[in-house]
Amino acid sequence: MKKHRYILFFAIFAWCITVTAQEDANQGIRWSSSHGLEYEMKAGLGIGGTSPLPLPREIRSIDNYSPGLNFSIEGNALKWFDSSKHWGIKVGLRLENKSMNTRAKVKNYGMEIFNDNGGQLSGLWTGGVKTKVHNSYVSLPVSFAYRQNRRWDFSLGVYFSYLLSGDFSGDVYEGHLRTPDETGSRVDFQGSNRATYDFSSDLRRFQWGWQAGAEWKAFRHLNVFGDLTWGMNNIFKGDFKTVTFNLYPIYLNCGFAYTF
Amino acid sequence: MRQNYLSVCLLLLLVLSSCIREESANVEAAIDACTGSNIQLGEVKSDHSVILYVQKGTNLAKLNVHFQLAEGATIQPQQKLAQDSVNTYDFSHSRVFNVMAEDGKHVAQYTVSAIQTELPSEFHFETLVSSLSIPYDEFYEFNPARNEFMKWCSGNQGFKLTAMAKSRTDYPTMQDDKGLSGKCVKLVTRDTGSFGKMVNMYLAAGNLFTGSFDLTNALTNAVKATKFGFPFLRIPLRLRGYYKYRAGDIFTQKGKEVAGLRDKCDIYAMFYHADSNEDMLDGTNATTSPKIILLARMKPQDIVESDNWTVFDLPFEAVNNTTIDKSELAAGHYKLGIVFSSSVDGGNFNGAVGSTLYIDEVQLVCKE
Repeated sequence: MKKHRYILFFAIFAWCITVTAQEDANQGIRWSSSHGLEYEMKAGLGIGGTSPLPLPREIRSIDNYSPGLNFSIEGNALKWFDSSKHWGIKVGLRLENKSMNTRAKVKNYGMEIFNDNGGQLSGLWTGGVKTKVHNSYVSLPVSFAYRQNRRWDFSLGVYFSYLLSGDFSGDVYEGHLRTPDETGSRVDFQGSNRATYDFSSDLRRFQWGWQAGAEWKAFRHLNVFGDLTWGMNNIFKGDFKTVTFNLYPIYLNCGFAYTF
Repeated sequence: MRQNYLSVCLLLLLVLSSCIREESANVEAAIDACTGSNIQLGEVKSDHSVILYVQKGTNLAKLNVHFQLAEGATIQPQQKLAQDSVNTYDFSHSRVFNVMAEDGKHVAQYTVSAIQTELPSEFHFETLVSSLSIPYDEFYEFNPARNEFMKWCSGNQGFKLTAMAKSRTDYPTMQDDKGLSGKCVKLVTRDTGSFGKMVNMYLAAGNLFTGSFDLTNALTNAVKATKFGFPFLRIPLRLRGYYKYRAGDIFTQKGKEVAGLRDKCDIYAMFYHADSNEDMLDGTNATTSPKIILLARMKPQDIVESDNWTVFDLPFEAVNNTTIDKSELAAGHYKLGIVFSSSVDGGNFNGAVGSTLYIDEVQLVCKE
């Protein structure tokens, strides 16, 4: 629900820009252009994953991976430094989803599952793990832009994200939990026996990372773009110790951009 | 478009999979279970203590123990004693064992002790061994006030090999809620399916007995797989209890239908002299061995088919004209086996699929 409110807010914001732009189309854009400013609206779909780098030894195989439906919309402004419009700086505001589903086989993987009576059981899991990551962020990308020719634009910079809503959960199956530690007792899960886990509340609010992008001018106002975002800090809070390795979101976002 | 999407997913999966690193040694260091030929139950507690329940009369100085450990882990007694050999340890006193994980870094220390218990004289069929790794019911009787403990045995683990059971109630031996008092045991003669036919074992009678089941014999010589008897230090007089029986409709002999024959259940107990701790009667000689001194058995003509609970009260009768030696009795050289079966000739795979025997509130009356 919360997420929908943000999207609605952003849609209205975008609509305002568009309307304002249309009203003063000629005048406004001409003024902006003469001051080396450009505006752009982007909408895209992302594919990628939230993954440890490199894969830790705990992960023995990845049996299934499917990306979620990762929508993103972004509005940005570009300021050229030079009159020939080769170098500039781009600042934007982006709403995005970073989601994926995986099934993997793990060995001695830090885990905290819910048991039947709602209590939690922590320890080391060996067996199958299904993971669902579904995070929504509002992000502020800041990057240097380089226009190679009238068709191609490239950018390189950083982004800062704030987690609007986060879901990192799943279940474990076909294996055993050694609880509370490596010398503890064994709890088996076989057949249809499953246990769930939910680390959503341990997700970090602030994220940052690198991003690199390319844009190709297809028509006068319409560009095709691709942006690669690479998270640089663990998606979990520093005091969260259950998952013993860091996870970084790495996503490629592709879509269309409208330039005013 | 969809194909492209799928190929991108596959490519990513491939890229990720190629990054799978070499497997590291297991870090788990733990005892998961304890079994042994004379161990009724090995209880592994979360405080790293293990209690082995054995029958009184069992030789503790040479107790066969098989520790089921976390994968790759190894176990060593902290102090090796003279009587110790492979999988056999001297449990005259409690011992400390060290379990080392496969990685050689994690070590867990366990205190293992053996407790000698007596066979109970009352059986209520209320408690089951709780373990997720066993897909069928296993009964045990525990009376801590009188230091009595016993785990019942059944052919369920043999039936598991047929892969016919989808749930615990598909097995021949299970617990049932409608007991005379509380819960009871329900024994059903089951079809063993195509796998059973392949090995000429056409059906599996539901059975429950005191003793052990030798899985290695289960497929080659099933009658020899059921081993009866635990050391018993008293002289039994009567075996009493309640039963309900209904025979299945179609009687088969070696898988072929025989018209006019009706299945019968079997309830019996034998008291015999064992040559050693390991000596046990099995399905081939449980009622005929010359070692038997006392035998209590339900006569076929006395069996009542009914949906109501019926009393059975079977006297132990002397056979083979042997006398009981008091010092041998005190030393645990006599064993007692109690057997319930839903088909009397089930050991030879003759009976009727569906024959159902319920048993509850069994009492063993002994000479004081």
